[in-house]
Amino acid sequence: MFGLWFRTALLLVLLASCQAPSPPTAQVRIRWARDPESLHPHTLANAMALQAVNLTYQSLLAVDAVHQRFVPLLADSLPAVRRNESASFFTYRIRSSATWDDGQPILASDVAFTLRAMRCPGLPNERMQAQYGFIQDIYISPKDARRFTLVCAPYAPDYVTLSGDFAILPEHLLDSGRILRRIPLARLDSAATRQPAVAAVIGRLAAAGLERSPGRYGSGPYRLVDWKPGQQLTLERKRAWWADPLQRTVPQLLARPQRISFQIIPDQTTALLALRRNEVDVYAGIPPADFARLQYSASDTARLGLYTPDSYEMIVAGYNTRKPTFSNALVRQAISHLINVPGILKGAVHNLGYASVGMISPHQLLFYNDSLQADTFDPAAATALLRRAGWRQTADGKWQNPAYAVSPLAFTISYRAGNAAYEFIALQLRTAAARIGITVQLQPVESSLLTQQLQTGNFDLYLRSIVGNPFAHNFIPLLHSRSTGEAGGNYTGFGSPATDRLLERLAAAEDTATKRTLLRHFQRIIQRERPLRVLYFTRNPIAITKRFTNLGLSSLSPGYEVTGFVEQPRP
Amino acid sequence: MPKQPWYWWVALGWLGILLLLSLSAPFFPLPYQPGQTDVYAIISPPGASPGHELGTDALGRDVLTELLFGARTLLQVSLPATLLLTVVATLLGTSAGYWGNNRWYLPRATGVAALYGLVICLLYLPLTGQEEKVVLPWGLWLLLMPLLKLLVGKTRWGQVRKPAPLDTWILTLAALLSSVPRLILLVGLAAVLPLSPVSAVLVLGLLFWPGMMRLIRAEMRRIRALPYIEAAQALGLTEPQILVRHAAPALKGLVLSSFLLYLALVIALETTLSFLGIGLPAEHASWGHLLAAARLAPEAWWVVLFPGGCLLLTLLSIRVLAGSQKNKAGSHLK
Repeated sequence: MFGLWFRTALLLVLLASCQAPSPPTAQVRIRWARDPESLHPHTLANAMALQAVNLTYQSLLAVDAVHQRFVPLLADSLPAVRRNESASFFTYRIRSSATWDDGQPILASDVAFTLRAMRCPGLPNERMQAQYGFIQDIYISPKDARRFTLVCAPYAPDYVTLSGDFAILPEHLLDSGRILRRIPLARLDSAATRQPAVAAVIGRLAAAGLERSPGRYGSGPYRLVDWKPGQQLTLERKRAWWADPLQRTVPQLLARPQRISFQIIPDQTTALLALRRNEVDVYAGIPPADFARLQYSASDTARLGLYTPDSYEMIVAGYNTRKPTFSNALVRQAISHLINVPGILKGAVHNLGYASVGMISPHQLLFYNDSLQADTFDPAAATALLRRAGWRQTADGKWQNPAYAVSPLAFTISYRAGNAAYEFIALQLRTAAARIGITVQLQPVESSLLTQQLQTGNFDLYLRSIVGNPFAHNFIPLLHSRSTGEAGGNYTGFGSPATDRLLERLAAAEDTATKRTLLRHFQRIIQRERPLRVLYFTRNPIAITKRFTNLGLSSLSPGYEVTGFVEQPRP
Repeated sequence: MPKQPWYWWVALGWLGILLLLSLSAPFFPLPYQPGQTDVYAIISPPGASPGHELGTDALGRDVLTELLFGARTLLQVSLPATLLLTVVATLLGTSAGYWGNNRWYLPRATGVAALYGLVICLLYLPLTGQEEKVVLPWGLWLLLMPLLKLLVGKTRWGQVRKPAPLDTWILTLAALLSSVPRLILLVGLAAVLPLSPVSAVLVLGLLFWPGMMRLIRAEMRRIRALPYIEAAQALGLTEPQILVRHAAPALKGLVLSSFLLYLALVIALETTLSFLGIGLPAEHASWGHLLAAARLAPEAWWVVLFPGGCLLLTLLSIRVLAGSQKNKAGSHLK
């Protein structure tokens, strides 16, 4: 009898071991194009590092990508703003339940410490010093240790969001002696840091290994468990996280996946293969040709969700207005008529893009100037414009202009080598220009060399991408006359006192109506003067395994919200 | 002429056809020019679109036009580059092999002047990309070379003739060039210095001579020790006479077979660079460009088959001719 029971029990144990394993802990595997290099929240080496830092650290505010607005994250609400002639004041209060992993509350003193750490000489914080230099001081409320006011430079609209957009660090772990508190923010210079105690704190900060150990010092929902540089990086959900009780009510504090594994696969073909072999779940920024192939594959579409959210990346052709050839707006307009945008969209990006009359996306209906006519592919209009600009066609079909030393009309197109879309655009423009007698040479160059050529003005026409965002309409770095030269980003050399004033008013505009009026005017001027021609806005082709829902697709990079992913139960 | 196998004739025929087509490419009534896109016929299969008998690639370029003008690029870039490479390798290999380290006597004054010229060139060469008016002072300083030679030559020390270690110098230069993998060097150069047909010829021609130079040097060392050279010396012929009239002609077979082998190498390299996107700009037709476009549309078999087939046939044909020439040279030496 005992033997029968024993055999039955053994059989049951064996049967149980043969059953399908229980569903694995929810894991999302994401393809990264490159290594994040550093996970230091003050370095933010690239877009991958930013994505990892956002999962492990927290700032006062966060971006609600789906609704394209800033929302409170560590703060309990958006900041209260006051301002006068000489300064602006942003008052925040940290959520009462916010704590570090060891249970210590997150306080205003942590924000003050972070601001000081961002200013300390000798730490890798140059980017932070430049970006947050407008924050001059911090006042902590004596009655409420979580409430504080940031004293900033005279008001600018960007400060509202920027003032809450940096990762907060724990003072009690990194400066337990509270040494940095003794030095006012404005006096945190190299002289102050020569004090032995301060130097010791800076030394501890440098030795803390923030670039490789997010999780210990961050209040975010994830911690780093594995990082093989150039191969993969894995984050794991903290078992007990301070915001767990708020998951249902505060969407920005959602953190559902138990593990997020980033697979670093630089090569696009290998990445596509990994996606098809089910080795990654999420692949964003798929090349259009590969995406089209996925769309035509029945087996891929059965398993993968294919999405094409908008993006704020635009492909532009910029003219060097300092060159005699392109000093006349009519010539720039003429060349714009030789660009076949619908053909380029079809041939180069498989229609994963959309044309625009200017630097505002047509999908931003409020700001887009829909009264402007988009340039059409019209070689006849181009020849008419060239004639109006004083150019005459000679017997051999070339264009001559007695007003300029350079003749006949010819130019080079500079672009990043190895980019098929740019090559297609350049070849199309060259083909169309050759038909009306303009000689065009292509000049594909290595990326850093191209930047150098653009900065020194050693080009005629360039092709490159510009990435915008829905929150700021500050075009000063791109088109203001003070942004020309080797340090600036105004490669076209465009700018006049009138356009400079318009750009400054636009950057300072706060209310939507004013911004709308100025933006529509801005688009009209850019279309008339044509220092650069926006060819199209790109879409962000994304493939995500269908077992995930609640993807939070948006036009902001990376295009999805991994913290909200919900895994459907397997059949 | 010995009887050649059938494949030798096929190889010769293919290369002849290629030469004819590339020379006459501009005279064909082709509806499209090289580098011209047809945005309404992207990845069009052969014959599917009017005017595109061999189809189009992912950038809308006509495959037939690119093939014909790509063959022309072979003539315009690969052939001159190989000629340049051969001239450099022959000059250096012959000099190193014939004179060695102790047969080329130079007055010290000439050595001093040459050293001065070398230092001036090394100082000014890096400035050519940064300073615009560098050529004039460079030339002026170089003008002092003959003066220096004259002045030093007037002294007794300057008049003493010493053997110049020519062989060591040339082998050192070759070793320096060979110390970096040539393809990596080429890719690095092409990345910072965008290639044009002229610069491609110079870069390919000036980077790849060490291998051929070593072959020619070794052969020249062998020839130098032959009795008929000693006889010519005994007869009192001058060194240049011996070198040009008696030693160099014996190298003809080796140089010709090496030229063919290196032509195949340079064609493959030019195609590789274009395939990698760092060769000639897209407006210059190249078989490598077509092969690179195949990556954008792997399903377009015609973009791989036609240029790939042409490249394979060309390289094989050159190899066949080179092998035959090598055998001929070998039997002649025996």
